[in-house]
Amino acid sequence: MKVFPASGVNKLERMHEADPSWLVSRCLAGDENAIECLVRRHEAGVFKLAFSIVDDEAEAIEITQETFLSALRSLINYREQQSFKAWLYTIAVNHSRSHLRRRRARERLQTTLAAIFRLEVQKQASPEETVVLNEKEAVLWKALSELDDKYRIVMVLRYLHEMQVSEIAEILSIPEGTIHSRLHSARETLRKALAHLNGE
Amino acid sequence: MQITHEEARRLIHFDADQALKMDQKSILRLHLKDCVECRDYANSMANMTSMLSSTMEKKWGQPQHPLPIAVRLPKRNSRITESLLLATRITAVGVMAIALLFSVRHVTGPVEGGPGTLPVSAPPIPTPSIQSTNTEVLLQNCGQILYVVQPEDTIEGISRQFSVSKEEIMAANGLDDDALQVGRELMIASCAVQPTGTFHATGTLYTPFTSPTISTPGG
Repeated sequence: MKVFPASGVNKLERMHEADPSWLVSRCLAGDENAIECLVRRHEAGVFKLAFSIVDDEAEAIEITQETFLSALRSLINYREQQSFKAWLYTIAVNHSRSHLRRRRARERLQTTLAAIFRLEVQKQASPEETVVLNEKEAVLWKALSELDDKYRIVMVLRYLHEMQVSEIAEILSIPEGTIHSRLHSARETLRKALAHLNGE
Repeated sequence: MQITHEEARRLIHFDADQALKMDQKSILRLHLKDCVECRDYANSMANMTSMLSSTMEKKWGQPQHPLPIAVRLPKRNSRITESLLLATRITAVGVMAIALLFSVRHVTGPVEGGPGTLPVSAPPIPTPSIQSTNTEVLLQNCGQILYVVQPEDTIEGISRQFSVSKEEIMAANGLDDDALQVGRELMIASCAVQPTGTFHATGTLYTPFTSPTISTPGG
């Protein structure tokens, strides 16, 4: 990867803070420093978002790469009325979902083949599974993992990325009322899972 | 103002989404003051969301640094480089034309009473379109197009635009139904565009994946 002079990038970052659309216009003009600055500014957020949806670090890195390539290729479609972060996160969510779809198709095939050949499917423990959770957290985690994607993604955006309902609605391109309703259902499911553990 | 337990719980959820107005907050506060059941519900909800945030942070909150991300874009040529490239291409076509002329004369012998003529006309120099920065892209060959779905796009609309059947688009992109997500990229194989046609795309980027090939006489 090309190394860019830090001073040039820092200057661009200062300019971006003053006028976010300026950096986008520099990228459109083909300024490589501006592209580097844009990627550096958002890569951690996009990675965290992808990681929280697909729960696989290697896949999340791949999604982050794909997200930036798609975003830079279609930067001309970006409208300044929209927040750049929301626009970028929309692309990241779509890439993450498509990875999840592919993974599930792969898993279905694997299960079918395993059933045919009577093989035992062994799931490798990923590094993130080494994180130690207490009993309550483990129950909560299981309940969250079992939620349908449409509920899980809004919960992740709300409680990990601390986004407002309006931002989530913008990213997922669905009405705010639907986000409220999905959050309500998901919270209720998770609360019941914890209450069940407490014997309530 | 009196509200039911059900209404109070609905307000608790709206409060968790920071979507309560001042008057609704006051109504909820008054209800919670008198209702133990709803107060327990609000507490259990607050505990759950707090634990959820910390668990998520524990699992996903520590991304590795630096991320091994290297975004490589097609390099844009400066105006001088582009001029040099154009001059090189013109020279190359000229040299090929002269070489062809000599080889034809060598095979058939010189034509009496006049200079030798080119049996094949030189092909036009193709214009590279893969690095276009505007939305007008000249599609010169059959090939695959990357189409980014825009708001209000439908599969039918896209299939009409590219003269490709809806089923082909769905099969090529692994779509199970008609629902399209804004921002999604679709691969479209299209030959229907006239070689000289220009797309006037409003807010849509077309990126031809097949770069135009230079055909050489006799090659």
